[in-house]
Amino acid sequence: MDSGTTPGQRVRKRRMDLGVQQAALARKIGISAAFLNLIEHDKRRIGHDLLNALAETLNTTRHDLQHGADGALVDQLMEASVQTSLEPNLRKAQELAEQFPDWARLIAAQSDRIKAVENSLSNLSDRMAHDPFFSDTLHEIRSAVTSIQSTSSILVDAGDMDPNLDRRFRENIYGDSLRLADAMQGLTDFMNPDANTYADIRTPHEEVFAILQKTGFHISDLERRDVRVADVVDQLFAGVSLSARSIAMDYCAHYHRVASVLPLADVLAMVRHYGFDLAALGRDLDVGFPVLFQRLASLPPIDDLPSLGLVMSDASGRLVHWQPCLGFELPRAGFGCGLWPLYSALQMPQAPQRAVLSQIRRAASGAMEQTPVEAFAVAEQVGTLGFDRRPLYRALMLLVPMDTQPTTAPQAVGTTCRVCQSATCFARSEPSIVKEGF
Amino acid sequence: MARHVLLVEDEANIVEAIRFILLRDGWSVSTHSNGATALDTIRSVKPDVIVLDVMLPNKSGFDILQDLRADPAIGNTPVLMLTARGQKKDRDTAMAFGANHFMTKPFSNSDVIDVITRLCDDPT
Repeated sequence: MDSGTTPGQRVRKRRMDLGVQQAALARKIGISAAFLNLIEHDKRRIGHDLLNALAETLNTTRHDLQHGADGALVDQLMEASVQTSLEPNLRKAQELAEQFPDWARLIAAQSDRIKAVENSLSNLSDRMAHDPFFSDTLHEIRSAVTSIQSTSSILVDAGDMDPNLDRRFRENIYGDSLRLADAMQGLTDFMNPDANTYADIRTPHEEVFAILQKTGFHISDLERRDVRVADVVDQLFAGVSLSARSIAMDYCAHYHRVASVLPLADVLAMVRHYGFDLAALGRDLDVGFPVLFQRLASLPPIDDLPSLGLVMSDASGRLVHWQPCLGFELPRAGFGCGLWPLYSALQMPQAPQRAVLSQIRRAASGAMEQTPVEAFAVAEQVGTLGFDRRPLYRALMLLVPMDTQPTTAPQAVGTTCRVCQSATCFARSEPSIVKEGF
Repeated sequence: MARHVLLVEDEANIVEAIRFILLRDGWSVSTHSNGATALDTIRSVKPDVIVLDVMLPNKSGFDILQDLRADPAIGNTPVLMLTARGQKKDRDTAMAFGANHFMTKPFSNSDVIDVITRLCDDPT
């Protein structure tokens, strides 16, 4: 698919490529031709359900309509070239994506697979090196084997052994063999709880994120006051690691508390009244920004409201929650762009931050594309205050896609340094794999 | 008079097996399983050779070895260290702290007897 520069343009291009009349498409998805025309000319936002209907009818994916297939594909090809000895070359990557899209997707898919396996191996290696359970189990196995070897050696070498001692040593061997079997079973469970592939070994945050992503970050069961959070976690996060369950439990308990304080109907009514005027929403709902951000990011998909993004980092700046929104790409885990207000908020915990951001991307066509988003950030204290320790903060950044062009130029930011195309960024912390900057 | 070996090891079945082969070969044997009180036993038993496990309850074999070498009354006792962790850094640590020999589990009975005999005859 040609990426175009906006979702509306992509819909139009895709429709025309398929030779479908505007009126025919509009009829199929149950809207007027005039409304479709407004969408195609970016005069109206495409709601969640409508985007799904368009993607299905136009035989493409929601993601491709939102973000453009080729732009993402070119990024993936650039990443893939770094995995080999190939010098990343944007122009050649664009040519490949345009002329041989199927082969390009194959390369991108294989590159993703390699990254997943590498990531899994890294996580596995980390677990083997640092996990106390793994270390203790190996110790148990070695000790049991040592005992069995020494004792059985005595029985093999012994001539006339006292029958009591003989029985005693045989019992020891049997006991050690049971110990060994238990340890081996524990080790097997530890190494491979439910997974059949390396790709299933992820960090606990990634495990939680994968499930949250499927829910659209809205968990309807937790909207009920009388629900037991542990039951929701058991059902929704069944099969995840213990660490991931612990993270999920914290997330869901917090979600439930926030939902209890701010019932969905009240929040939706306020949003319809004020829009995303966060100061007014916080004031009338009588909550602080951190709670408000999390509540807004957990709203269910509603046609006339944009899906919001939410990024959260711990005190070290490491991302612990990454919920994307239209027009703003997020890295999975790790660190974000140092220019995000998220990090300014972390440096100034008492000062809420607001900025209009745009991530400038080069589409496969070579054209630059950007979708401005409004970013609101704030840091909140975690844990309890004490006189003998410094306060600890975490930062939250709410991302709101803009339905009108900003009056001032948006601040150009990236996703993360590794894939950022900015050639002269003062916030860069590692070289980019993309040589040709903007 | 039989030469004396002190086994400092908390795995009961391993202790029983090593104790058996040492007694069978004519050694006198004492055993101890608690890291925290091992030095007291060493001071009272004054063994000719110590077989010392690394992972012990309450105090590690490395810590016991360091304290042992710092005590002039017992500091020259030959020590064979045993460990279930075969990493090079463990061996290096043991030798740096003054172990005379280092063996990784699992080991053969004959190797243990050979090393203990050698350490008793010539600790260097």
